[in-house]
Amino acid sequence: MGTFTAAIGRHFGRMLAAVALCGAMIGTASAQDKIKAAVIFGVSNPASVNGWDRGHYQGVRKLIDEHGWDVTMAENVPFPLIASTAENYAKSGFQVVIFTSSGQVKAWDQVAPNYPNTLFAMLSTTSSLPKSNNVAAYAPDFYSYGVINGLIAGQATKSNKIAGVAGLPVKAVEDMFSGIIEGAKVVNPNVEFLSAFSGDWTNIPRAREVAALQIQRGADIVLGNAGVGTRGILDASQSGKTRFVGYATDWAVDAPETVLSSVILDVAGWYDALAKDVASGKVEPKINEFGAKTFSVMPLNKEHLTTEEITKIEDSVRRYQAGELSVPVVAHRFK
Amino acid sequence: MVEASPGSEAVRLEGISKAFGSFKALDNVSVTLRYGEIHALVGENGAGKSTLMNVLYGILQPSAGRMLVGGQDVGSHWSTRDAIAHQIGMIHQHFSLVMEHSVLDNIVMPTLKWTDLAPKWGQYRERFSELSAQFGFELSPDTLVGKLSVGQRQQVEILKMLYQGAKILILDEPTAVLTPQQSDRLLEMLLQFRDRGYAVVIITHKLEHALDLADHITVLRNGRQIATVAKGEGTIADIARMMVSQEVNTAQRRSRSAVGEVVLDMDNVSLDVDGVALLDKISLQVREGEILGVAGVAGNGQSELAETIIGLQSTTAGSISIYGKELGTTSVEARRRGGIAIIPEDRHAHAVVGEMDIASNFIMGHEGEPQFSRRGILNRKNIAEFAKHCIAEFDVRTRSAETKLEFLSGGNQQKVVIGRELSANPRLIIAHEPARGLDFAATAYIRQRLVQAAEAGAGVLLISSDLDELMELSTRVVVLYCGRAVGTVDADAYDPQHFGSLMAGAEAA
Amino acid sequence: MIFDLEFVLSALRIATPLMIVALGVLIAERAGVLFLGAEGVMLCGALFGILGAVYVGDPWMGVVWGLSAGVVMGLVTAVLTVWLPTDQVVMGLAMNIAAIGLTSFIFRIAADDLQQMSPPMGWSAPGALSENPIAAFLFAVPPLAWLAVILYFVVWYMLFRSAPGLLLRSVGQNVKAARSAGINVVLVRTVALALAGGLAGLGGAALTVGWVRSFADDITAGRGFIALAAVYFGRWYPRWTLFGCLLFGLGEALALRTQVLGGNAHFYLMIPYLLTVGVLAFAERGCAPREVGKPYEQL
Repeated sequence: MGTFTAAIGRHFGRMLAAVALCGAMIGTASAQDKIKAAVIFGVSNPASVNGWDRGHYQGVRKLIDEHGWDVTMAENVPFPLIASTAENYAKSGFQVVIFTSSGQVKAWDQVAPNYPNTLFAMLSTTSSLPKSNNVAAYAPDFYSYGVINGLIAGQATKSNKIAGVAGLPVKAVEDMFSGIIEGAKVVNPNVEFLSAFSGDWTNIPRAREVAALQIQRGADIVLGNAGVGTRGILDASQSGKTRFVGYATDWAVDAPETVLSSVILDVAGWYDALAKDVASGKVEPKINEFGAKTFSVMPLNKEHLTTEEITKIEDSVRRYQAGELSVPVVAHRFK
Repeated sequence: MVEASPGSEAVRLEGISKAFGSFKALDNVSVTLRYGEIHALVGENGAGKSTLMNVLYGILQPSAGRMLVGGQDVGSHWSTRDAIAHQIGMIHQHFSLVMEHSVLDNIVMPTLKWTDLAPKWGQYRERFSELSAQFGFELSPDTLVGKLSVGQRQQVEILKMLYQGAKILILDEPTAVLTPQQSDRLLEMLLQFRDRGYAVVIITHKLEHALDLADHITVLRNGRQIATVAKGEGTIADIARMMVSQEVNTAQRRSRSAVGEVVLDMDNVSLDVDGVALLDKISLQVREGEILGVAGVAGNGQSELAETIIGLQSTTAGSISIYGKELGTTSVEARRRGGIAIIPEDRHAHAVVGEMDIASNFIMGHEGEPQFSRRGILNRKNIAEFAKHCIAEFDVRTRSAETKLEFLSGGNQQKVVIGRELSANPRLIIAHEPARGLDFAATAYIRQRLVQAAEAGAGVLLISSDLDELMELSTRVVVLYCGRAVGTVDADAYDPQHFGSLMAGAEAA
Repeated sequence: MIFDLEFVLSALRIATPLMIVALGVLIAERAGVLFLGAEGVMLCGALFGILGAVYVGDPWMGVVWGLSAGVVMGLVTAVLTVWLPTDQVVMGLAMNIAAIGLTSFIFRIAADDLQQMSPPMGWSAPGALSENPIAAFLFAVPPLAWLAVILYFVVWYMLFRSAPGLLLRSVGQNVKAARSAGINVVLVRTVALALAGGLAGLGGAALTVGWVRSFADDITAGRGFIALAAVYFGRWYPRWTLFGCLLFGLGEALALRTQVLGGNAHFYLMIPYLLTVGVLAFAERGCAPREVGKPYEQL
C-alpha cells in the first residue's frame, strides 16, 4: 500500500509538472527554445505495456530527459482518428509528430504532405515514405530481428516446435515471423514454426488462450508480439511450463523462470537518432533502418540451458550480427 | 395479547386523520372493532375506507389520532410487521400475492425470519393442511398462484392471514373480483369467522352485503365519518343517501323497446385452443337499439366471446357478421373502423395507458383520423379541444386534459374509456364488466350512457357477472356455460333463481 | 486436437469470471433490481484485484480487494437506484462509463507498479498424484472455478430453500406483497446489491488475478453484459445460468481453437455471440422477476 500511495504522489507530481509545462507553453518565450513534439499511441498507458510500446515510452522519456523536448503523448487513439489527431497537433504548432506503429502509416501518408512545417516521423516499420519532404522513418529491420529470435529458439527447443503468437499479421509481424523461420532453420533443420493470431492488440485473455493452444500443439518455445495481449502469451507460457523469448524489452522480471531471454529492440536509440538529426538539421525524407547489430540479447537463462548450449547460441547470434552467418531472406505469408 | 373473547374490544381507532399534502384523505375518524363482530366500511371511491385500514395495518402513518390494539396505545412507530405481530391481517383489493411462487410459499412468506436458513418446510405444510381442512379450502400447496382463478387467489390471501395467526381480518372490496357464487361462498365464510370469534372488517361498495352481514356499518364520505350504524338501524336507501352527496340516478329497467336491424350476427362460432372448446357453437344476434346481456360465471367463455368479435382471437369455426357482412380474418383495426367499440374487462391491460395524459387516451386508436393528425403529425389543438369536449361530455373529474390517466380514480378512468369508445359513434358496443369496481355514482352514470347509446340505435353486447346489472339494463340475457350458450331469457322472464341454475350448468344438455 | 481436456480447461478459464458475475446479477435481479452496472463493477473488481495482488504480493489478497471494491460499487448502485431512486437502466449505463474512466485513471497512477504481472494463482497436484491424469486435470482447473461452482450451490440453496431466499425473491416479484408482509424492501435490495456487487467484483478479480494476471483498460470487454445475457438465458435460475456461462465459455474456446483450421479468424470469433443469440432465440419466453427495472418508491 505504501508503494501505491507513493505512486499516486509521483503521478500527481508528474501531472502538476505537465500542467506547469502547458502553462509555460502558452505564450512564454522560454518554452519556444524547446522542441514541441507529440507522440501518438494506439494503446492506452504505454508504460505498462511491456514490449514495443514500453520501448517507445522509454524513447519518449529520453526525448524529455536527455534532449529537453516538450512531449505530449496521445494514448489509446483508435485507427480512424489517427489522421485527425496528427492533423490537430500540426495545426496547433507542434514541430514534430511521432507515429509509433506500422498501422499508422496510412494516416502518415495522408497528413504529412498537408503540413510542410511539421516533421512527421514514423518510428516503426514502413516500406515507403509519404510524398513529402517533411518526413522521416526510424525503424528496425524486423527480418533480422526475427532471425536472431529464430537462432535462439531453434537451438533451445527440445520438441522442435516453436510458436509465434501475434495480434494481427501486419508487415512488421510477417517480417519478424519470416526471419524466425529462416533463422531457426539454419541452426535446426527439423524445426517447425507454429504461427497464430489473436485478432487484435488489446485482448489479453484471447491472446492467452491462443498461445495455450500452440503449447498444446507441442510448442516448447513461445514468442509473442501481441501488444497488450503479449502478457497473456507469457502467462500461457508460464502455466504451460514452456519457455518464452521476450519481445522488444526485458521480460525476465515478469516471470524469471519462464523467460529464456529477451531480444531487445533499441527503441530509445531511434528516438535518440531522431533527436540528434533534428538538432543538427539533418533530417532527411528516408527510412533509417536499424539492423541486426542494434539488437541485443539478454543473458540466456541458465536454468534451462547448459553452458555449452548457451555458448553455442550466443556464438551464432554474434556471427550473424557480424555478417559471418548468412541467413537467406524469404518472405513468408501468414493468414 | 389479550384473549379474544367475543364482544371484547379488538381495536379502537380514535380521531384518525391522514393528510397527503393539502388533501385530507381522513378527517377525525373513530372506529371500534370487536371480536366476534363484522364491521363494514362503506363509502364511494376515494371516501377514505382503504386509507383508514392501511393506517391500521401500518402501511400509512396517521397524521393525527391514536390507535389502541388490545386496549394498548400502539404509539407512533407502528409498522406492518407490528400489525402482523398483533394478529392483524389485511387483504387488499388488488391482491398482494407473488404469482410466480407456490401457494405454500405465499402463505408462509410473511412469517419467515431472515435468520432462518433451514426452514421446516414439512411443518409448514402440515399446518397449511390443518388450516385448509378447518375452513374447507381445497388448494394444493404446490400450485403456482398465477395459475389459480381469482376466487382461489382470494382463498390464498385468507389462508395467509389465518396462517399468520390473524384474529383481526380486514378485507378490502373482497367481492369486487368474484362471481356471484364465489361471493356468496366468501360471505358465508366471513360469517363463519365471526362465529369463531374473529374480528372482521369488510370494505365494500355493495350495500346489500354490508346490511346482510355487518354488526356495525361505518359510512365514510370524503374522508369524514358520516355515521356508524348498528345492525338493523338503517335501510339500503338510508345508507346510500349518507354515502353520496348528490342524488343517485338509477337507470330504469328496460322494456322490450322497438329494435331495428341485426347488427351482430354470430353463427355457430367455435373456438378451440389445444383441444379445449372455449367457445362451442355460439349463435346469437344483437339488433339495433338492443342491449343483449351475457351472463355466466367468469371463465365460461365471456372473454373469448368479446375477443373473437373484436378480432383478438380468430375463430376455429362459424362466422361473425356485422350488418350481414362477414368479418372473416379482418384486423382489429379494420373492425374498429367498421363500427365495433369495446370496453374491455381489464382496462389497465387493454384499454388505457396510465402513463399518458387523458387527451392521448381519448384519441388512442383514432389518432390517424384527419381531425387529429395530418400525414402522421398530430394536431395538438384539435386533440386538446376534442379532449376538453369529451371531459365535459362524459363528466370526467380532472383538473386538466394533460393529467396522466393513472392519477384519476377508477371511475373516471372508465369514463375516459367509455368516452373514447362512444364518441366514435359505433354500431356495436361490446361492454365487458363496464362497472366493475366503480362507485355508486360512476356505475349509475356508465349504465346510463350505455342505455342512451342503445336508444340512439347502437347494438350493445353487455357481458357482466353482476346479475342485477344485467337485469336492469338488458332486453334479453344469454347465459354462457363452458363456452356454450345454454339459455336465453327475455326481460319479462327474469328470475335470479333461474339464472343461477343456468349459470351452474344445471339445465345444460 | 480440438476436443480434449485442454479444451475443457480453456472453456473453464473463460467461463469462470462469467459464472461469478452472473451469480451477482442473478441475486440483484431476483431482488428486483436491474443490474446493468455489472460490467462496470466487474471492471473495478478487475483493477483492484490486480492492485491487491501486486501490492500485497498474494493473489488471494487480490481476490479480497476485488471483492471489497465490488461491495463498495454495489452499495453505490444501491444508493443510486434504490435509495434515491433513479432509473435503473440509465444508472447502470452511467456506472459502466464511470467505471471505465475511474479504472483508467487509477491504472495510470499505479502504472509504474503494474508493469509486471501479478503472482500466479493455482496449485499443483502433490507428487504422488501428479502422474494420475484425472488428478492432474482436477488440479489444473482454476481454483476460482471451484469456488464458483461452490457458490452456485450456496446461492441456489439460499435462494430456493432458505427463508431469506424466499423473502428476497418475493421482493423481486412483487414489492406490494413483500411490503404487506412487513419486509423492508429498501434494506433487502441494499443487501442484495452489496452481495451482487461483491460477486461482480470477485468475477472481475477472477478475470485479472485468476486468469490473465494483468490489467488493461476495459479489460472486461463486455463480459459483464455476457454474464447478464447468461442470467436471462438461465431464466433467473442458478443452474441454467451456470450452464449458460459454460456454454459461452465452450463457444469461445471452440472459436479460438477452430482458428487453427484456417479461414478468417474473425468469423470464428463470432461463434460464441451467435451461439448466445441463437440460444436466447430458442429459449423459452423470458420470465424476469416482475419488479426488475421498476424504481421502488416508499409511500
